[in-house]
Amino acid sequence: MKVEKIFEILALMERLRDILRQTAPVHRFSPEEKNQIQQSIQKAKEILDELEESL
Amino acid sequence: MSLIRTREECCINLNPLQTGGRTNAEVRITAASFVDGYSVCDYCKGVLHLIEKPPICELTKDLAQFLGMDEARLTLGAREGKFAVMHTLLSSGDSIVVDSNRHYSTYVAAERAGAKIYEVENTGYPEYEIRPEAYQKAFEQVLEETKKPPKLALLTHVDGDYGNLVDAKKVGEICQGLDVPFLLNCAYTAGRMEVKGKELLADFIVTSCHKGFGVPGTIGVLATTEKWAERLFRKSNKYPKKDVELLGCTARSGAAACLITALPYVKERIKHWNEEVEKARWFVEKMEALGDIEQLGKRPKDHDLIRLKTPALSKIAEKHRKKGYFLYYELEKRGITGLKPGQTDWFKLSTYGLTWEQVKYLYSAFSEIVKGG
Repeated sequence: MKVEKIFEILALMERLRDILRQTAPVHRFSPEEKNQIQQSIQKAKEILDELEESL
Repeated sequence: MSLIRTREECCINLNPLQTGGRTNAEVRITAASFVDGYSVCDYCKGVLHLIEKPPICELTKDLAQFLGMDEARLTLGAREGKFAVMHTLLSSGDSIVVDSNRHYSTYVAAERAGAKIYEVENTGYPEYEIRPEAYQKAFEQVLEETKKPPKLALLTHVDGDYGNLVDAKKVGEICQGLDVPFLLNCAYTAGRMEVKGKELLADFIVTSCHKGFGVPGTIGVLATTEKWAERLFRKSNKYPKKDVELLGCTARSGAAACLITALPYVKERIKHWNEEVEKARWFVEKMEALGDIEQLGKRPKDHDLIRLKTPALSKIAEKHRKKGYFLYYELEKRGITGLKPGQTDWFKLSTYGLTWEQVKYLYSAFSEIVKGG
């Protein structure tokens, strides 16, 4: 369960890497990309909280 | 600080060797989870291509179908596949015909197999084209000199110097005419564009998945037809599941798992090949319009690998305090990488996988450098 959470966070971060790759080198994000980044960060925070609580 | 690489996130990377091997998020997740040594061997079935978990047995079947061949095996890359074919078909002193635009590893593999190497010349400046009919001429030379047809002919579908796409089917027809087995090196085509080996009359196909399938390496595919499968994939007398030419198991790493994840994306991306060609053509047209810049290789481009002769830039280099290195640093300042430092007379680049916005940014950067020179 904890391991799955870690991979979920990794997946969210890897999707952020994809956005960085697609917008390199200026990283000027479209509204959709900004939204995706914010959602990914929010989701990652929630999973991290769950992980912390499970300790 | 850990050892990390941020080139793909921070820059536009133009290195033709690397653009088709860029991974996506899903592949990187697979890579992270299969990163341990021999991770694909948890449920070993005696040989790599029979492993069911992860489904490498399905992968090899899928790859054979994807490449339009009958049977496929994973290799460590295209060169290992080429050598396996050469070692199967050739004895020391036998003749092989290869194109002169071939990768160095084609030549080295043939040397290792002890072959006598005949090269099909390209047409020279400015297109450096390999014409299929030149294979006929090379075969006749082999016949005249050795009284036997060559044991194998190899064609580099798209070469790594000029990005020239050769009409493989025509070469295949010439090979069939003399009953010469035909090996097609698809390192720069398979995974980017549709390649159906049997339709191109190929007896063997090799490709490199870290070059064209968006996976970490090293991993490739060797595929063949029913006619050759038993001979090429012959088994060890002592270890009946192990392929002799593959030394048993080849890509026994996370790269095999990554290829399972990547293949559906690759099947999708080849549908957009025309747009990749369009980007390359647009970029060439704009660069040439800057003046004193010439695209080498076949015109118009039908591949993303572009070679440019750039007197416009070498003239700037002559007067610049950084000499030939100026271009590398000017591009670096603009977040562009992948060219060899010091090169200004000519260079190769690839626009594969870039967004239109990135291609336009790339052109503006070169335009600024040329005009500011």
